[in-house]
Amino acid sequence: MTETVVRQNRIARNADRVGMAAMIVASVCLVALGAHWVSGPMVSVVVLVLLLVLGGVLGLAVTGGPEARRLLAPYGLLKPGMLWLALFFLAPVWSLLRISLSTKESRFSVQYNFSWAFQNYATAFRDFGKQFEHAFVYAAIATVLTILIGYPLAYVIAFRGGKYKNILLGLVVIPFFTSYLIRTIAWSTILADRGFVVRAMNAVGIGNVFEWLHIMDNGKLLNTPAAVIGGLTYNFLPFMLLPIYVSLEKIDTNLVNAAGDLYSSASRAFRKVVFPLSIPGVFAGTLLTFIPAAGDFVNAQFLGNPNTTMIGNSIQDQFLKQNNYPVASAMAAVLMVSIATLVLLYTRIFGTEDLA
Amino acid sequence: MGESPSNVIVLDHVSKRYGDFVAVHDANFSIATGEFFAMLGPSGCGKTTTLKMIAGFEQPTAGRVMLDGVDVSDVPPYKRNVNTVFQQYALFPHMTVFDNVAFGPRSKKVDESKIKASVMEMLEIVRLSDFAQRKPSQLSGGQQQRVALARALVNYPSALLLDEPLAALDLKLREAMQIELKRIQREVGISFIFVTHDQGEALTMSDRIAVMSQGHVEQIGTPQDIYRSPASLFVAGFIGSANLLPGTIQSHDGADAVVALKAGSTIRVAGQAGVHAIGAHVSVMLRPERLRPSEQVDSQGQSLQGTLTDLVFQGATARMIVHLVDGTELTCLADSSARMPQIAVGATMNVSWDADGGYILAGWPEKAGSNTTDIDHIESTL
Repeated sequence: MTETVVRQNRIARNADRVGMAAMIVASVCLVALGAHWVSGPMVSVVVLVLLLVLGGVLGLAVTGGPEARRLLAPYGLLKPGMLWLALFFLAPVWSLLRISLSTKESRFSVQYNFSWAFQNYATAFRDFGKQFEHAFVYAAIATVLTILIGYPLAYVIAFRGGKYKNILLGLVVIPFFTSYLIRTIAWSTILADRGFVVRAMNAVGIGNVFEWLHIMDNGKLLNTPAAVIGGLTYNFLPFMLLPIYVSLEKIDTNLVNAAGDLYSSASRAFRKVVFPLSIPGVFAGTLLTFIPAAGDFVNAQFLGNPNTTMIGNSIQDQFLKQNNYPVASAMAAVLMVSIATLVLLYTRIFGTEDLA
Repeated sequence: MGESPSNVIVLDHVSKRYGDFVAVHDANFSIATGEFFAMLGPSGCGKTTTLKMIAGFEQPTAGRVMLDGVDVSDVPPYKRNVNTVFQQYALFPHMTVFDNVAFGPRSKKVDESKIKASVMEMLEIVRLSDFAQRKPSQLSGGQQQRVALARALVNYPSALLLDEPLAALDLKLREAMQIELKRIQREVGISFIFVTHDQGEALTMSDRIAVMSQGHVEQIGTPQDIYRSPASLFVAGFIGSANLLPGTIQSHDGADAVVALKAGSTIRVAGQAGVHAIGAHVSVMLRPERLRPSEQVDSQGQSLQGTLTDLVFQGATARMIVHLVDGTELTCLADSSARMPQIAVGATMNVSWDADGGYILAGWPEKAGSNTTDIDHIESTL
């Protein structure tokens, strides 16, 4: 046996380590390229390393025999996802964090210099506290409302829908074939000051009640916090309804029968059996609703007023109108970290590991 | 119809229709306290519907369901003092074994300290005390089955209803659970009413069996009664295996009935004189284990001649398939010990039996001879 064959065999036996190392190196290369760690001629070097690593693993898979292929397979399957995340998640997050700690030479400059500029975060908190508050409060209220509306709807479709189940689900989803923007703008027409809803409410004389509930403001329905929350609720309802529906639909009706057989009334059967088993759906729905709702800027823009601005609007404004990338990045980072923290807390408190 | 207090459940001419379809037709029987009662029949025979009417999940379209002497036909399940063990157990997956068993008493708002004692006692009876804090998904099929039993029995219902309780278990476990169920039933002394399509299960466990077919109760009796004197051709074929030989009553001679078989020969059946009119179309039922295979003609009893077409060794017994001269197929179950006659497949042989080994049933079967080797028939009973 020649020396090269011996070495080849050793590589083939440790193919799993080779595969993992290749994946990590390739990911780092992609982050380096995506986040502009390297510039000039170094770019070609990194690209060359990336291609060599990927080519090397491919070569090992082809020549290493079945044992090496078996060891390489898990990393081969992980690689597309990992590389995707490296290029389209890790690299942008890196850039975002870097810009959030940078300063501009002047207000009109497009060049940022990294300088550990934590004052960007101070600015984000000081100037935009109100918008953060709006984002989380509105998103939280909208999430609760989607549960209150979505749960009974999902329940009826799942347990009483019978052969109409799919049609009913279709009716829930069909409006969402229209663009998000168009639907939201449509709401601004529906809720307009001279629109039929406001006129009808005033004609019936329940305007005062809504005024008292702080849903209407000086005879206006549009451009109020209630309109923004309503828009969020409307737009995110399917994201709550569908996971709840799935978890309810899975429940064996014999469990409800068994609860009845064991002397439970319908309401106790719901409280003790159906609802606990549907919590994973409520949990998933809450995440799918709250996270995008907290970052939303469309509803506040079309249905709100300058006093209902959510953080999403402010970030958009800082990025695209003020051209203040460092502060905008700091705000985006704060939003990201806050949502992650809230979700983590929520998962810790309500997480349902053994049911998921 | 007796409605004495010793009858825990009385079905008083109960029927159930779904539109034009009659699921249960005029079920009329009662179940005694402490009895192990089986409802047996092929799928679609109405046994599960009957069980659901007793449990309260279905309402009868005619007749009354009486529980402890009270008409409960319109009482919802949660107000009836019966409990059900569901086919797939329907254990609450999010609760521990203890909470599952405690579900019934908690619904009834029993004092929590008493609940703990009674739940643990019941888990003791089903031998699952060490599993109280497990989730159902962490238990085997047989253990889940016993949790379902404990969950129902902890309420000390007037009767326990079991819907195909052993269907989800594999064969060995099923046999062990049959004995276990019987033991638990004796220990708690509650009436068990169970639904099954498995005649072996029904024969093993029950005090009495109701055999049902197409919504009708064909026969009610002890396992011995039903096996020895089936009320109809359906019951004869469904319980155990039977050879059914069509013929006509020729005469009555003393205690014997003389039957002219369609196959040609004439045989005597002891103790059956006068039951059926002369000239009536009847079938003679011969259980495979009552048949004796031999090379010579057996002068003592009744016998028929045929050809051995197949011999299957089954351990304790050997199953012989014999084709009679007219092509009718008989199954014969012989002791597989050394005394078994050494007959070669293809050889001519005799099948004989004692005159009291036969039983006469009214009517002719769809297919003469053995009913056990017909795969379609076996499948249709599942």
